Amino acid sequence: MANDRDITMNSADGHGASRLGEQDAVGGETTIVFDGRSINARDGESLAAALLASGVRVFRTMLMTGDQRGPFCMVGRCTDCLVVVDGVPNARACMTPVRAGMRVETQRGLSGPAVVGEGA
Amino acid sequence: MMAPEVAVVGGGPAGLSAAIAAAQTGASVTLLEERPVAGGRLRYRSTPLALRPGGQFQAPAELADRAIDEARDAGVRIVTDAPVWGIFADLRLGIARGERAELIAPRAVVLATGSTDLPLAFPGWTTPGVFSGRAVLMLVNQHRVLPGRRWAIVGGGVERERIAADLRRAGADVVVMADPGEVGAVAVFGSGGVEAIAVGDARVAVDCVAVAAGRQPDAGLATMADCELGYDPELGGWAPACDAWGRTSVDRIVICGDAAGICGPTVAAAEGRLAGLAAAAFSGRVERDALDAALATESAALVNRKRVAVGSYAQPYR
Repeated sequence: MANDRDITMNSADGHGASRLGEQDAVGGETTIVFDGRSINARDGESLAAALLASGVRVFRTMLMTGDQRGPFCMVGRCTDCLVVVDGVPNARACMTPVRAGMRVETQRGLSGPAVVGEGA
Repeated sequence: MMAPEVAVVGGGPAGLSAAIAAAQTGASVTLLEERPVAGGRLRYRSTPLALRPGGQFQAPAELADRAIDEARDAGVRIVTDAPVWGIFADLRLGIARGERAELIAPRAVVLATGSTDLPLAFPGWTTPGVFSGRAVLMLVNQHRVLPGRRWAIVGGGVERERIAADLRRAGADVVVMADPGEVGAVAVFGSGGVEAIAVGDARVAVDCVAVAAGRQPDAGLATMADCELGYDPELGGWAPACDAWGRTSVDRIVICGDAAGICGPTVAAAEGRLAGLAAAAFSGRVERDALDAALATESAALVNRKRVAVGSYAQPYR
């Protein structure tokens, strides 16, 4: 899939993503794993917010076209932020609270890394 | 989950006010909130406001916390992480609770489901880094995350100005503000995320794009319940018809706030107080003259409020 190459830009963070301060009602600093690399997060915060803060933009690719998607609505409606969490696909990152040690992967097509190249 | 006399769907300013008003009549009240914390728009609005006319202006999140305390003190059972996914015959509500679904059958339902953002489908609008206006406000004001430095805002109206102000206060550069109705073609480009926006003949490098196309009432449950709807652009499109207290065309379903037509938090709170009383009245908790008195009390907040009146439209979805 041609677009897969571009997902490596997720780690470049050339677009100035940052945290603005601490938010209310979430826990302390913790670490999660996204596509094999360690990412700082806050326990209980929205997974989508944590990934965006660390420069991740592409959360999933579409099954038929390979088109890239990232969070759009942040309220659980658009499903553009689907990721694989601890091996289970189709988690809406915006509605999923961060837990320490969570393993998150870009969702490619329907079911995560196992179907790369088989979907389209 | 025990069936209450009044179930309130949505924990924003309208729903919290409705739950408090209903519970203070002695009715048993459950408030169902799909997010981890109640407060709705009060959680991601930056400018102070009052929830009563003439009230002291306060930070929105503080108002939300205060309303939640007041609701608990009044005996409201607040259930978070509880999306209501359906409404069925005899007012049964389908509620998602983790991996399980539950059905409850309250005596009356208050729909305080708020609004959803309208999208704008310009070329490149699905590129990662394009966000709905509400998503931007939530990220910046609630999650305290700025997903990029240089921004374009596509759209217009009050919401665009609010988004621009909040982004700039967060240290972002808002370099493009484009209303497609004025500038013609808008297109977003980027591989691996937004890189540029084209406005007419100009192409500008940006990291993110916010869409400010307005909001529409979230009338999903009202539609499913077969409430009469009417179309009014000033209300944000299709909105359930209701009377002054929010009573819809369907018995024992009451609606308030943005769900009854886009109105903002202060009006929503006033409507919530009326809707809560109207809902409790279905259990015999409130007399007719008390409903009239409450309407007179709230009239200052509702003086310019427009709504679809019951019986003013044919049943459009039948």
